Amino acid sequence: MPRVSGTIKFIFALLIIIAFWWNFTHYVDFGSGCYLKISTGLEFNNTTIKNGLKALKYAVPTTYRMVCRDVTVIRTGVSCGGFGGGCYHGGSRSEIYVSVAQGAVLESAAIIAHELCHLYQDRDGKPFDENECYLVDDAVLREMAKF
Amino acid sequence: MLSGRRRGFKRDGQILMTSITKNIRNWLIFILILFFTWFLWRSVTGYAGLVPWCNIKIHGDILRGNESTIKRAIASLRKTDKPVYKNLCANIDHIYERYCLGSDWNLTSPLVWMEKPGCYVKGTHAIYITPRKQSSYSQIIDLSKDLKIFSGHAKEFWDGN
Repeated sequence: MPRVSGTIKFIFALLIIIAFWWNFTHYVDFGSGCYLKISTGLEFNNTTIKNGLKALKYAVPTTYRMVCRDVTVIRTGVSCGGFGGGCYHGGSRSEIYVSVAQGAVLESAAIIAHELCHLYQDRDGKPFDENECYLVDDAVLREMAKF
Repeated sequence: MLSGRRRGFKRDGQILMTSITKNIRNWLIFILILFFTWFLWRSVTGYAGLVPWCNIKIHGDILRGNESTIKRAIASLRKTDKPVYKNLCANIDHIYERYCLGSDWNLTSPLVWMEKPGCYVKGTHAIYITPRKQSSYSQIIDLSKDLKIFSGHAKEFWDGN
């Protein structure tokens, strides 16, 4: 068997680590042209966000397209919005915070839609109105849950 | 009497055979360890069955639910209703033991949804099952029926997409 030099092994290992890291910190959907960065904080989990986004893609495609178009970073963490909640800091930043503490796909999708609504309120120069955004996530939940 | 050369061939053959036997034994041990680890991993991480063609992970609720009821309901389906069991395995990969809120909890009282048996989450291969502590026979039967309905919803959704 031909011997593999140490440099090639090192480069190969490095590439694998980079691929894992990239996969952990990004959501990419080539088919839909969707690219998002997922920043994990203390809640070291990106699966819930990815599952929530995939669920939106098939169940509520219009919301999914809006998320892909207007959000660049989704940050996880309980620091904002509490356990299983979310928040948007404002300042026209296309970043939303979604807590994944509950690890559930339905709630995750609804919170992404709720925070997207706040992002639009901020961009349009409207005051933050929780009730308007409750209606948005309510519509997502009603669409996604089939009893 | 064997000549020196033939004796050498025989010895080489024996060495080769021993080496092959050792290799096979090592591989068998490796496969056994792998199988045992897989078995242990599935048991610990809450998979519903131990068959590789039915990968349903149950996310149980320790405080309010009873994961074993779901496992029993799936086992009951496997024995009594093969087509539904196959459909469940093909279309569902996660079962969450939690209340399925079909609307925002700030607008509608969550109590409305807590009375429901659960739901299928569209766009996913996941089912929500309302947590229940009791594990009576009738509840297992009811849950089997719910699983049948929800896996049917999943099939309908993915067949249409």
